[in-house]
Amino acid sequence: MDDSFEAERRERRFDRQLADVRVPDDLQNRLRAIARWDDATLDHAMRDVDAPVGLLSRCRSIAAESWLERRLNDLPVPEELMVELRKIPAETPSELDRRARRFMAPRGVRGGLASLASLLLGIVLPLLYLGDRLAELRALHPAPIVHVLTHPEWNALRGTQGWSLEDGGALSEIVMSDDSSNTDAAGTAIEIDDSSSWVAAFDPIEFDAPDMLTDREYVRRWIAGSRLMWTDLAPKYSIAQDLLVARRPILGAPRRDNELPIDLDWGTPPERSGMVPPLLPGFDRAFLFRHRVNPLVAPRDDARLAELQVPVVTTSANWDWAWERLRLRGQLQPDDVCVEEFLAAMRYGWEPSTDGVRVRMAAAGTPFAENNGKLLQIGLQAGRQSDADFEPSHTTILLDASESMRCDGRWSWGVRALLRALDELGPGREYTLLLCGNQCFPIASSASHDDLPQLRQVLSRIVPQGDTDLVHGLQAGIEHARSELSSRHMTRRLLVITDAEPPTESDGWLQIAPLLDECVQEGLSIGWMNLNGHSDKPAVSGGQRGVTPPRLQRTNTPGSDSLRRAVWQFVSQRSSEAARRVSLRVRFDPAEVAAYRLIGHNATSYGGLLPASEPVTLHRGDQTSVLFEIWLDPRSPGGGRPEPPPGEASAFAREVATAEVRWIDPSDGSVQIRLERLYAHEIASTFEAAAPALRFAGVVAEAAEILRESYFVPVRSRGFREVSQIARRLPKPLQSSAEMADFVEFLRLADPQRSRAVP
Amino acid sequence: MALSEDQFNALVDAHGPTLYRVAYRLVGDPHESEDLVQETFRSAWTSRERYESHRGDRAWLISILRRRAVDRWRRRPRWSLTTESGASEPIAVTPPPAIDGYTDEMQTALNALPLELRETILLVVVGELTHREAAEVLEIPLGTVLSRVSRARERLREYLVAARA
Repeated sequence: MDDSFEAERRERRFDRQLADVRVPDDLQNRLRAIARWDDATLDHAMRDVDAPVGLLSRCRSIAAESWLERRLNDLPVPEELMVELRKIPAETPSELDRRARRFMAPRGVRGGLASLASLLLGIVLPLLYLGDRLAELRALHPAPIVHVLTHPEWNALRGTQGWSLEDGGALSEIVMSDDSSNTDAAGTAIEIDDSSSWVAAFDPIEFDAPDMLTDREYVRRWIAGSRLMWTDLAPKYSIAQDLLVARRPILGAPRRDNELPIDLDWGTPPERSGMVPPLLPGFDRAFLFRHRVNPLVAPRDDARLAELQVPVVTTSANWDWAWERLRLRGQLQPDDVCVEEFLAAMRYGWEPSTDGVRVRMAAAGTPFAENNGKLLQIGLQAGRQSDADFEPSHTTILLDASESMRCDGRWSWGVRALLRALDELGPGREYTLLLCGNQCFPIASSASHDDLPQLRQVLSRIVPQGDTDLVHGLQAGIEHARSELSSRHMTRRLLVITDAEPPTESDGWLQIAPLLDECVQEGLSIGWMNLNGHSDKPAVSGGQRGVTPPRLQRTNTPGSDSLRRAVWQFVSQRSSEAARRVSLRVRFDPAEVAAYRLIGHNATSYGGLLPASEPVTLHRGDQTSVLFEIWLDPRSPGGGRPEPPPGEASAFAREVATAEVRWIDPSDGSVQIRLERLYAHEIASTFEAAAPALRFAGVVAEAAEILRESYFVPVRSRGFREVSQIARRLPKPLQSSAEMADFVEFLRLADPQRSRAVP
Repeated sequence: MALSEDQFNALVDAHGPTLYRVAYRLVGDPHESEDLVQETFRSAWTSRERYESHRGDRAWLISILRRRAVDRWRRRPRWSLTTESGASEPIAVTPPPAIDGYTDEMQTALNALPLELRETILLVVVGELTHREAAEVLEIPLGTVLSRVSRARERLREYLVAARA
């Protein structure tokens, strides 16, 4: 065994030595025939061969090398090393893509492209240095990178049912039920930089996403902000196509039986949010992305900084979500809070206006700002429909009070939105409210606008529980609506608010089909609002089942804003749009304003890298506030002085800020522009002397900034107790409002968390 | 033809141990050798589009290994010697790849060789490259390889015989 092994080794060495040498044909055979390998035998074998120079010495070395080779190769190789070596080095898709493109080009073209790229880099890089973009990248550098790996066929996958959450157990796996061969889909992954990682691998896919997150909050909390910027910068990356967001229900929350199995619903990419940070000297983008809060801006640094476009935010989903989070978990994370949505959720007690958009500006000294800072409020209020436009109506509201309504806080935000919509509709309408559970019973009959506070109290004591029978509930609602006012000449409507789809044929729809036919003949409109708006089931059409269509208006209302607007539209039978494409620009006078800071509206990365936020539509009842902290220049003619001295009134007529609001009137399509100016002498010297709306917005924003652990909060060392005390000193009309009551309760719930968090 | 994953694994199995031995004999430190081999295969993977199967796989890998080793030596700090005047004067010294941490007789003998001789004999004897492949890797004429291997072998023999005596 040893001899044959040694012969084989020797032969390999022999072949190696001769591999690059042209030798006579028979020389190899002669050499292999050597039985005893020594110099004499070798010389004999090569005696008549005209061998190349050095060949003989190389052949001699074969024998001489054996001991050397044995010694040199006598090294054990660590087994772990071999295991490590077999791991393919990881590469990001962008690297792969880049490499693939690089090697597609011929060598000559490659050289040309490389030269061109070098030239471009030589130009682009200095520009990056000149701009602040590199600064923000540097600011981001310490932060871990979130990888959002998707595949180009993402759009094709949208809406397929191949992915689902396995129900039962810990709900911990996503399985690809029908298409495990689709490796593109399986390659989709999101990695998060903390312990709550969410990594998709091939079938089955590990799923460890933090629960209790809607898609939007998931993105805001884990992906958005500065970290997504890296993904944005990746070649060919498109947020609209390449960002995958999966949505799933709250673990442990009560669900309706017919919601099974739980489909993993691909969420849409997040909406842009926040102010667009300008690429201008003087705007500290590095600060913005490091602290995720808008920096102080000195308009004198650059004339362009004196004017900015502020996104108008009318959605209040974050407020509802924060409520639910507090209720279930008793705590909020800083990234859970969105200041501008807190502000949009409030109503500020402004007098109703019939204008398309009413703009209000007010400013006052504030205890929340350092160094004699002022709080500036720009309020936008959607115009109210004139009461003369409404015909008297009676609406029977069938409210689902089953246990599933507690899921996602549907009951709490649903009731809040319903009552607010009824309040905004004003007097002149009547309502009957039926609760629908196992049984159906009325809790208010022919209630008017004045009865809403009492109705609110009753509803606040109700805890949804048990099942519900919607067929019987609908039947009872119809009968109630028909009998209630049969002798009065009022338009009658029936509104069902639930978290389920309308009953199907198998659910007993045919039982009430004749009843619905009668409703149609009598002109009774039926609205069906589904708070669980994720379902894609088609609306029930009576025509498909051989009955007359019952004019059932089905609407998905997955949030309080959409429900409020849908209720308003259904009851009024008019569009709720008050103004389309509303945009707000604010200008500061650099002579008056030394510095300002926009509160909230903190830019996400895509807010920073994409064009400005889209103009929004204001609906009836919408109110929102944009808040600034401003510091007036004490050397300016009007700055810093509380009262206008006699004879200097003209100096005090100088503008501090101007708000320009543009919108399109939906009634005739005309462009409307409103300018609202704030003069120095209009600034209230103290917070207590300010308009109630400003004070309310101030405390709401302060509370949100405390929760967000804003960079600007710790220096003031204020807590919820102080904010609550200031809130309690607000005027009585505001104190008695539902929003104020909710806000005070919110502070009470949030306060223990803060006292634990702050040592 | 780009290197596939299967081909990559085959390369690791076929040449991994040899590369490790070359690296070890070259630098004399097990951990550094492992790093070198890993870097070599990482580089091989990232430049896999240049790979052509069955055309001197080992020579290709060893050339990568040698470049990685040279990079490491270049990164090492230069030595500084104190002159008679007491001033510290930095001078360029070819750093010994490994002078400590290894007591093997053969390694000591290798360390005593000039770098070019050590490198050449390792490529031919341990790396099992043909002389022509070694010449291409080292970018020197074939005859130089032959003479270096011969001189290196002679010196090693002398050193080891003397050590045993």
